[in-house]
Amino acid sequence: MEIKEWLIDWFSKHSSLSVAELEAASADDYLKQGIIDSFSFVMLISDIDDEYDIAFSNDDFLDPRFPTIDGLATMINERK
Amino acid sequence: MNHFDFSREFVVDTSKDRHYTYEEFFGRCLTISEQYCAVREEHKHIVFIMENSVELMAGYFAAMMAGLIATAVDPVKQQEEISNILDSVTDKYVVVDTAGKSKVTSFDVLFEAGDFEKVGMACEKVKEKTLEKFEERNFDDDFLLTFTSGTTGNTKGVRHTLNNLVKTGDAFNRYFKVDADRILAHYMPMTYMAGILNSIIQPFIAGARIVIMGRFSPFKAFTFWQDVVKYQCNMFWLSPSMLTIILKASKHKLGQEYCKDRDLLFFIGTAALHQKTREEFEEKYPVKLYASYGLSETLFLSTETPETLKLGGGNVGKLLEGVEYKFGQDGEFLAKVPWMFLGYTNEPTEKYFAGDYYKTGDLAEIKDNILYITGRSKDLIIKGGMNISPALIENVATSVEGVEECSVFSVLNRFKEELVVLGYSSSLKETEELEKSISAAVVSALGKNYMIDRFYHVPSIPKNVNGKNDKKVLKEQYQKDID
Repeated sequence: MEIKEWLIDWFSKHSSLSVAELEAASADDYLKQGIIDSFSFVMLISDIDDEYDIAFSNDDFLDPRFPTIDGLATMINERK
Repeated sequence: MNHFDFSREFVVDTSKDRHYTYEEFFGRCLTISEQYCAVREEHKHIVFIMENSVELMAGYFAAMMAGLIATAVDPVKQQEEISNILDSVTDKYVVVDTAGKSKVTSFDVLFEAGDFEKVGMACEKVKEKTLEKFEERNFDDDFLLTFTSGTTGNTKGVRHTLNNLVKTGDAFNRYFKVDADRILAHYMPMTYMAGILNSIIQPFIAGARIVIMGRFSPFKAFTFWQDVVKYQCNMFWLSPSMLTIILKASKHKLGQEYCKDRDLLFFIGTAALHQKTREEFEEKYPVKLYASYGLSETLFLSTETPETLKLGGGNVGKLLEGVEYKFGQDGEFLAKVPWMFLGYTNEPTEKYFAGDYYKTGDLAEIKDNILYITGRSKDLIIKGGMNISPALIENVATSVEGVEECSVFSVLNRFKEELVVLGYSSSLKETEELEKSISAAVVSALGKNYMIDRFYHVPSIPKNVNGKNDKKVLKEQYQKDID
């Protein structure tokens, strides 16, 4: 499964949006737009760690790409 | 303070990894306090609308030394709420940072807090001058005005003297022998009581060090142990929701290794610590959590101690020395403390008192001077003539495997009878069996009168800024969903 596909699948299970809606919103800030809340965000980072063995740092959290599905997919891809 | 060694480290600003000794910190505070003194004739309140920072902490101390009332306003509040707060404060001088500035529309006196590192040192004899300023300060005058985070929508302005904060902090410290070897990790919002009394005043009067980590967020949770290890913190004030997030975010062994064989103090406040969260945290990390109980108005009332931990059973510890109590007619816990607030700025204070005793709004029991909080009097559900305490149901429900968090509230049915609704979060997709298990556990532990009428599965329980469950928002969500 492609990384972006994996992320969209994850968001569809943890938010009220459908796969189609998430694909359309993949460049939106998922925290500011309220797509997921802070608890789900913690789950997301934890699940990325499980799936791709990636631990994010403070600098990563400040990366402007971090809060969008597209940006996050790119960051994970760079680390793989 | 006379015995403090001013060459010792006092504060760490982790945003710049900058360490300040007492000398460096108070030298700058003296300079800022001179600026404040210049406006003292016209302005008795210094209103801070700022995020957690060394600049804000210095602002409080500078206000203390200038004989002014430090007024703390959370920049995360909505613009309208901030405007209402500002309208309710007279004779004010407003200090903001970037976050605060964006929330203030128009003001006659507005000052932007500068970079603390660039503030000049007032003089060479910092210790003497600082002590002099503290001696000049009348500790029984108004010093601090905070605004409650409130889940009812009514933000109340709570007034305290410096003496109140020092007395209650000292009473708390005595139980744990908090001393100058302690290093506190500061994560609580710095404009509420837990971020000021617990996380600044309490360590300060013990001569302990303060590491300003910034306001807690999910991002901070992922680097929590790295930051704690880096600054060698050994004292913490955290809320139950912070504990839950740290538990979820920390997968690696760093925390477990750090906690081994170290004397760490984990104080938990601002909301009820459920047994399940306690057990999970204490199982993962070899530490003991000390829950405490207090209100912005009454400050610290009780804390768990190593002795009370042995009792178990959801107590919030021993009443602090000097705390007196009695019970209202419906079992409401009424408290009298030597550090009672001076009053509200925007509410009639008298209606919150029964004689000298403050009506806490909490239901409680006392056994051998140990306090057990059983719920909120306003949350009490009256069903079939029986008083149902939501807190009792929540305690049982959170212990059921699969329930992450929960909150109980009531709704009226078409016959105007109250129904018990359990809002809960769970990662399980199929929740039918889980709900049956919760029902069975509640009836078995509390009896049939406590039966849950409705279940409401939510992704997470809404929280207010201090991590308390926001029942009002949860109930509104529920009503919207069933309409």
